[in-house]
Amino acid sequence: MRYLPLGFLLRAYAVALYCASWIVPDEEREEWLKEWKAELWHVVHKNAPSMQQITAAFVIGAFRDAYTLSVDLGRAGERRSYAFGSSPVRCLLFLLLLGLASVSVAFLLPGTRAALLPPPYQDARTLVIVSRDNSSHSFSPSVALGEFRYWQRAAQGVFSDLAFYQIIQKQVHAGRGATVKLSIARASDNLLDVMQTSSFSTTALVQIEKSTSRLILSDATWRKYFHADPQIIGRVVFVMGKKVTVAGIATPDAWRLPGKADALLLEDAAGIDALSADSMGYVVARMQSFLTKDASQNRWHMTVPNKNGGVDGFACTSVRQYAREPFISFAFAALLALLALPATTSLPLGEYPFNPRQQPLSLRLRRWVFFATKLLLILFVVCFASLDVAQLFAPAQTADLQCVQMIVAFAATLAALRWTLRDQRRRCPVCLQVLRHPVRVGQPSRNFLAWNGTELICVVGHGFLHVPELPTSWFSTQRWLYLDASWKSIFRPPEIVRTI
Amino acid sequence: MGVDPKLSHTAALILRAISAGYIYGFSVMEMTGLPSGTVYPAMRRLERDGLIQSKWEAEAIATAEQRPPRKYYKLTRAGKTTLDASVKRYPLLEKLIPQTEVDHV
Repeated sequence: MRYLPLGFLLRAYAVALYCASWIVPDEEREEWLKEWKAELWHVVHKNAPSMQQITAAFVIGAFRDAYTLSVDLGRAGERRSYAFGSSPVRCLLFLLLLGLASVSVAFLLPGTRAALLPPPYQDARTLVIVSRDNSSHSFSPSVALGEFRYWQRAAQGVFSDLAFYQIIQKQVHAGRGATVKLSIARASDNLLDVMQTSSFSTTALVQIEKSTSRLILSDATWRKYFHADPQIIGRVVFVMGKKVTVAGIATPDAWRLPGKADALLLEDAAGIDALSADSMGYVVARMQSFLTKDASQNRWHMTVPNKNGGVDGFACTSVRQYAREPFISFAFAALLALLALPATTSLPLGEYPFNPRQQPLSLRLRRWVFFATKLLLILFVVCFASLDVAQLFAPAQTADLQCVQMIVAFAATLAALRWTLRDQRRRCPVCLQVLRHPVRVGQPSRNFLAWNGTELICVVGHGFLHVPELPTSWFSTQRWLYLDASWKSIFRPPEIVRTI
Repeated sequence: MGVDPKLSHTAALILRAISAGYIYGFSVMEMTGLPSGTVYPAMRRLERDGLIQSKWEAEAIATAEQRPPRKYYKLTRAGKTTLDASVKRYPLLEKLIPQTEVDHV
């Protein structure tokens, strides 16, 4: 066996010992590494014939030393898991990971992904959805076809162009005896012109006469029910017993209007004329440019005389605004949760007497920065998680989706706010670690004569938290008590508690 | 600390080696034949239990000899008492590691 140069060996073994030292707990690492290195020098310089084997055994033994030591410490694992749960940085990291996970899920779900991406329509702000007053937030069909026909003639001063559609559930004979039930947006044939989008790849449209009804499949429907058949364009399928030509495939997330649409049926003029004037649906319109000069405006109001001599009010909501609806719903639910919060938990964070020696301005600021960051992160998590849950478990209708999202967002925000407050109250104001070792002090029967409550302690030794069992006029909320330097000897050094 | 009659044979062997003058970790390993993965943790436990105590040798000595300073161990009063009790329990200890004159720091 050839012997390697001594300098190289020493360096290699020193690196190995350094690696072994990382198994040793922080507070003892340096000491162990120093001792191993000192002994290594003597092992290497011992003129033994089997020096290399002895040295290798010594270095391997160092790993066993380190492992045995970490096991021997016994409570190391417990302390590590405690530190993991109680560290403020790890708490924020955990919330951040949750937030990223909920956003990732949102991007995976087609419905929520559409809410996150900008609408693929040209000048989405001037493209509006017209809905009767007080129905704009439910996004249920609220305009009769008769009203649409009337606006086509009379509302040219408000709209440059407008289209009508309604969502219907119909069987589609996809050919070869296969029948699938689809949610179809049955629309007037100018819908794509009003939307001004290139997201519906309708290359075959030019070859199909406009007098024929055309079907544009969503990307998901094309893949799921038509097996991504590239020859589908131009094929004739039967919808409601009527021949319809497949005119194109929409790009993913192309449909951003109210209602779930697996396919878009662009009816010929006769098809729409055949519908009753009372048929309810959605109206999509382009606002006249002189009405949309204020760039911040996303909602307009319109009054139309009705048959009874009165006026009907209609809201024209921009598609861009509509895309924000899930977030507006969340904000509303969060506001409701905030209002309901005082009924579920006390709001004060406790009394923390000013102590400039133990709590300088930077430390006090750090506590509030932690609280604000935690609050923002948890609201972020709840916002996207409520969108995900609504998309996963709600029925297909937009109104139901919104309702489920509101309920989930309200309940989750309430729980999240409660947790944020409770977590903040259970943390040391200096090191922000979770307080430990709750101890009951006093007796309930002597509540008005002596202190009765729970005492928690900061493991680093910054102080005690006294939480009254029953709030009294002289002890209404939890109170923090700073410990002075004379207590330090009974606590572990802060750097040890932080690093284990 | 009182005498621990249940001291393991390994711990007693290490105590005996240190008492005999093998005061460094590696020399204890050499003398006892125990591997490093056993000796160092055992010595740390003995130190924690107050049977031995460790000390780093003076930097000046190590620098003069152009080597890193070593950590050496010595028996405490409790350690000596415990070793006496262990020798009665394991009589072969004295034969395995006879008392020798080695360099003391």
